[in-house]
Amino acid sequence: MFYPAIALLLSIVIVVLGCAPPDRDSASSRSPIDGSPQEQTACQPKSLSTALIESDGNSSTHGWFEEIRGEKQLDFTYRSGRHSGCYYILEGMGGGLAMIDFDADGDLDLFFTGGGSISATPNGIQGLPNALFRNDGNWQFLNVTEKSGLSQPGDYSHGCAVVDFNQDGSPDLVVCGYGGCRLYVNLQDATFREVTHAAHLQSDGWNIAAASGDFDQDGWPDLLIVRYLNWSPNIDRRWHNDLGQREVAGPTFYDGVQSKLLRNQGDGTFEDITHSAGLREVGKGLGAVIADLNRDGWLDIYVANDEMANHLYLGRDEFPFQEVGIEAGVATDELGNPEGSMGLDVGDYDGDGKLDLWVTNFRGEDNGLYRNLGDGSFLRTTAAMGLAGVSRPFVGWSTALADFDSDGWLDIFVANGHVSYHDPQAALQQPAQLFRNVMGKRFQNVSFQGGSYFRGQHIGRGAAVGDLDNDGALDIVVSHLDEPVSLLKNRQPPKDFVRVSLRATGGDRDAIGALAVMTSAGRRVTRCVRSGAGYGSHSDQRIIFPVGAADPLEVTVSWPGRKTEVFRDLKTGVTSVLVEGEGQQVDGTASR
Amino acid sequence: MEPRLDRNQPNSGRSRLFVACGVLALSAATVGVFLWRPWLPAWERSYEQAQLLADSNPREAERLLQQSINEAGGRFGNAQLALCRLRGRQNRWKEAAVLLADINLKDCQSQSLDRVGREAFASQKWVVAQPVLAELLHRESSDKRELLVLLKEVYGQLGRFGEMRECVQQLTQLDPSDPKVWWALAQTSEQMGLNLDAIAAYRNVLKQDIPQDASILVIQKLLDLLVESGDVVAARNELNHLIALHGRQLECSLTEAELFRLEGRSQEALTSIEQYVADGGKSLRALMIRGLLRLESGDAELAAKDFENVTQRDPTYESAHFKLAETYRRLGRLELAQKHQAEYERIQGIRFEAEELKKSQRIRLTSDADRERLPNLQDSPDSHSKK
Repeated sequence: MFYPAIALLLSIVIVVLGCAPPDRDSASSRSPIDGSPQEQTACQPKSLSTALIESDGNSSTHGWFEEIRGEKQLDFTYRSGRHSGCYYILEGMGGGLAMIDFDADGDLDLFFTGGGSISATPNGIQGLPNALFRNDGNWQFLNVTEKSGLSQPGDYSHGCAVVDFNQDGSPDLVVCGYGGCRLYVNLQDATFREVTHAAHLQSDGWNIAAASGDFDQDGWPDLLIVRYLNWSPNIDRRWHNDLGQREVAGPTFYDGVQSKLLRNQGDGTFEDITHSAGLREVGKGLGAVIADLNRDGWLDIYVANDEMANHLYLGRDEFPFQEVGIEAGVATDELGNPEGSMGLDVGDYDGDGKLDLWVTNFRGEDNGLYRNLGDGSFLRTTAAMGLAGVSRPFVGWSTALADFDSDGWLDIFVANGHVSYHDPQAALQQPAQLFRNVMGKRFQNVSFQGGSYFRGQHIGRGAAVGDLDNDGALDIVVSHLDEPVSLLKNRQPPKDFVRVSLRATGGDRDAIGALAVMTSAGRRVTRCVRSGAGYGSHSDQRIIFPVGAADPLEVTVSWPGRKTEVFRDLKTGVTSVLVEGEGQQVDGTASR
Repeated sequence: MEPRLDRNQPNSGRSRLFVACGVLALSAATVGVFLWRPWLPAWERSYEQAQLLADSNPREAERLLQQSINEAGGRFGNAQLALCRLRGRQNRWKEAAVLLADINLKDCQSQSLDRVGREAFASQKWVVAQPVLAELLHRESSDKRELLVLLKEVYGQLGRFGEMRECVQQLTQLDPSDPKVWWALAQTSEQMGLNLDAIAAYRNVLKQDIPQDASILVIQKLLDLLVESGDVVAARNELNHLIALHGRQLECSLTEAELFRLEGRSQEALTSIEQYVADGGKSLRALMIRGLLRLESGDAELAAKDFENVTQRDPTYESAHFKLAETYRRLGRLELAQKHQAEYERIQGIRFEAEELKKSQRIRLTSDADRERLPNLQDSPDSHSKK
């Protein structure tokens, strides 16, 4: 009797419940929701960026710069290989350019690194040819890569530098890349020849940028190779962001490496003195600038590291360098947080005669302005100078402290562009920025008045500044990721100017580390010759001083580690070559 | 001859009895047939029997479920899920997770999914709960609101913040007038560093009917984010809005100081901070900002006092130690500078270690290969603490 009862009960239950289809439920009376996720606000970064840009000033139909375009103009694109789908960190780093008067005709020609291609195959990282364009005047540039002997593709390239390594008076080229650095000697007949192996220029691994300076004051320019990460496709990390999208794994996923210091032996070869020079064993260098920051006559090096403390190496009469980044207050942000630093420059922004530092950083961080206090320490003045907040939506790369409006005060240019493909907070393409120095008291965001280029969106990387048309105004050339380079002609040439080119005879001809001072509009304007500024780029080394009617046409030059001379009766509107020893020595200065 | 009625009665009673017996037999047969259900495949029958025995005789139930799966050719969603549940109830979650990875959840009954999902959730077995609840969410009959709340927690625990945020986003679509879900979306976005999305969500909180103190809090959060994003214009608008709506709050002076500082108006920033402190403001951030401003203006002694004040109140305040090291260096008090530099580096080291740990966990969770192996890797939350 028990079993039939259970059977009856079960049968009823089964009949009632079991009849339902076993796979899916019937439709619910509850109204269905729209299951699609809320639309991402991808356009918001743009609106924020635009708001930041628009916050200072009105739109101008012309602006400070005019972008030069046309069939006969320069046409070149750095290739990153980022469309391969490999998501390598390599593909986001971009390349630089150099302003180099390779044919000694008095105007600046342009050299661009070419980048490379990427595929997920063995040996899938290949270099693409670099390019050299001859400046034929009137903003006409002719591609002379083939003729100049630079057409052979090398490594997957990034930055470049100009250095007269053999001191023959003609600028040579260094190209940095993934896998090595290459040295091209200028044969003084408008052609180059690669001498990497003969010069013992060995720097394997990932080289981003180079800078030169005569650190040991033996008269030969030494070479600093800035190296980035210990990365290869074999150890590449596959990474997804919080939204599950495939992204490039950033620098924090990889170990840093040691940069290299190569001593020029004066016989056409370099000697690796990294160890004795005391460079930090681990860095994630993306840029370096070389100048005499503390005016002790020895060249110093400031290295921008990505996502770790920046390094400041103070030169002295013997190696090793003294690394004092933290002690000097230039290693981190103002609260001690390491930043993602990329581009950098040095210059006297506040007119006190001392060289200050400027470094561009990653999104969410302020770019860093460090005021040189003259006692070996620096004070971060980003906020005090009105530069806090404005760079946070962007990833800053090449930059320049340069007097774009010829008022005697150093303004700031920053090329921006993201490395992340799917950052919902910031687009890959970003606008460049321009900040006007208001008499050393603060910087004013004038990006919106910068011209059409500054209102556009780009993946900016390298950039160099120089007077391409010799009109006394500083023009800008920007290299982008997979987008043609941009030539920005400065529309505000000064009424009158003095332009000087420094030629040292007691040391490295390029006079890296020299200071030039001129009284302009009643104020002492200090400029320096530095190497390596920007991001993997080389700017015009000539110095331009705007001149007022009452200004004496004389420039005082402090040669690095040597005497100070005054050069008088300079001509305006032309380039005066100031040769060490040909000026009038200022009392109290002498050779060391 | 007329038939006799009395003789007919016993006959009629018997026939009724026969009929009744017949009906009973038929009913019993029907019940038997329904019980046995010969049209059902063998694996269904084994599965049903196992379900009946799940509580009273789990071992037999497991055997029957395994038999059911075997009879079905190795794949029978409901039985596999029931087996998974059985293992979970025996606290054999690792095995349950492995079993789950092999189940096509689309073939499973919602009721079974619901049971397994909730039990896994209650046991904090997020790896098991996640796919089950996610499948359930797609079913029309599910209580989406409740499931989204559960899934939000699950994704958060698994470190899958994007999906967690998506759950909250869907909740805002279900209840667009509920300030709490907008608040949750803002908080989630903020934690993920999606400041612009967080700002939008906070603005939506403010659109709802919320009490004044909540409104002040939300505007303050919004202001913090706008300041952090460097959006001075929007922040100043919001600050004016806050003052117009609720009067000048104590925190307004602090925000104002930060905005002045972003604009490079150091003296005005300092005045605002002084106002904040004079009004009784106790924020350590205010002291930090005042210290920074004083340092920038060359008053290192006073700056040191501010930073010292901060470290006294919170000895683990990393950046205050950093600034003290910098400030004492400037003042030539190198011993103190070294002491604070060391403390800053010590605290920073701990923070970096914690961040590395977080990152390593996230790498495990987000790499392609690991995603595929997720059930095996993420069996127990204990594995997190070991790391």
